[in-house]
Amino acid sequence: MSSAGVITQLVTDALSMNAAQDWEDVSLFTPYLNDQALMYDFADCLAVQTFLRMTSLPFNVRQRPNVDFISPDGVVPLLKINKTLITGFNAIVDFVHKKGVTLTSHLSETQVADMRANISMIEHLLTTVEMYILWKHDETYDKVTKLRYGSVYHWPLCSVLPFLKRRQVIEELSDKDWSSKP
Amino acid sequence: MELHIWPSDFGLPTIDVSSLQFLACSKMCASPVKVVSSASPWRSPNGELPMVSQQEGKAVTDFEKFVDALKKCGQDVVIDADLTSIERAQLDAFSCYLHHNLYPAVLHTFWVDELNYNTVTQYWYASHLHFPYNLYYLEKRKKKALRLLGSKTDTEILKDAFLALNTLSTKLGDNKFFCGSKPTSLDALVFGYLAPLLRVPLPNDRLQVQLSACPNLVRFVETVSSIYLPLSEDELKRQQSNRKMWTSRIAKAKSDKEMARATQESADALPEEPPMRDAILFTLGALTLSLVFAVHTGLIEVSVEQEISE
Repeated sequence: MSSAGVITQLVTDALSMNAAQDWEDVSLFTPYLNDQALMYDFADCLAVQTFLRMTSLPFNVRQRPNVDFISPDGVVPLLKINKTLITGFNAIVDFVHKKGVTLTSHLSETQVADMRANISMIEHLLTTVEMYILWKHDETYDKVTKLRYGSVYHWPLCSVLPFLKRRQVIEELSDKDWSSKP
Repeated sequence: MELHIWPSDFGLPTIDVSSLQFLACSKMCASPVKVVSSASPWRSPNGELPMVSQQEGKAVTDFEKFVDALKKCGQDVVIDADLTSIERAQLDAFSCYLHHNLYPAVLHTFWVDELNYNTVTQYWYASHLHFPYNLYYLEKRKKKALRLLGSKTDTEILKDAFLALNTLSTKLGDNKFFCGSKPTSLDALVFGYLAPLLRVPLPNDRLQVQLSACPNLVRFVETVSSIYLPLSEDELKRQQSNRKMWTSRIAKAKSDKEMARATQESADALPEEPPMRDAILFTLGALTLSLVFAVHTGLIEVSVEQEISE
């Protein structure tokens, strides 16, 4: 694929999101915020809700137990407009920006660059730290993570699924060279 | 302190991204680190170069720890010394941003893209390491790159990288360095990410094209490499002699790719035209078989009447 090929692909992707459609019947799918969502998921859901309130776009929140299976790439929260699904904080902000609603119109280009860097740092650093604490630290895992994550499933699943997820998260952490940090 | 890095090539003092970052950082604060070009990554505690070995204490392989060590070693020029705390925070933010948005694309370009990997990366590392070990090492690094990229598609990675390049270009503006006129550790990081993209010739150059569209970033890389990392005459001469081999290798890879695409296209094009000849042959074959069957089972009887002469 040549350089032109990538640009074409990007444009096609952007068009397929159909940003021109009306903002009606919008719902935000989140996990059960009080009982199920883990720290970093909770943070993302709250961030999206806050962002949408700031832009004063109407939406309704629907809490479902299986949002990470509803979402096409396993990322929460999930925004549904008619037939378009958008996942994750950044993608939602992008989409809203494409509709012409933006909170950063008064900032200069450099300030936007700084903001992007800060968002990225907060997102990655804090998420990784929270993941480390929730899944890697044995006591926290036993007392909090396992119970919360397994709370929506029945007996055999409520211990199997957290175990599988833990293995996956620990693998991810070790790929980022985080597994051995004190 | 001794800094172990990968050997130099392609007009770069070392061809690996993090080796370049370490080297640039140590040169920027004129530290008396002894630079050793090494091709034995198994000596390092995590099995990867670059590595900084110190007289006392463990070897350092982490960039931030290396910067700390440089600050502590009592040089005249201390890196990141004149920054305000806001600038320092920005520096951390940018290094994290680049690591998550630009680095995946660089990894993808060098290690995951089949054409680039087969033509340049694999050949380079394989010819610098011993025989059985190079297979293991290349496989290990490639697997790690694949895992780090995770489930993201090519287009997503490149989209993030394009955005990151534009952000960097905006941030740099017309300045000489990212934080005014003095180099910081961020400059070393950015240089490490960008220089291999600019200098290493690759058959598949999507990211390189995008990078050369930001003239201030190109100028930045040229400035840093000419001020802080000039190459010696011998190295230049040696690299010049290798250059021809690399150019021919890359030209060959490109032409192979063109050929492959051409055959692919012609293969795609063939089924379009109706296979008339095949249809006729099939019909004839089927008719013959039916006739033979009919004759054999006696549906059609062939009787030979002999003309009686006389």
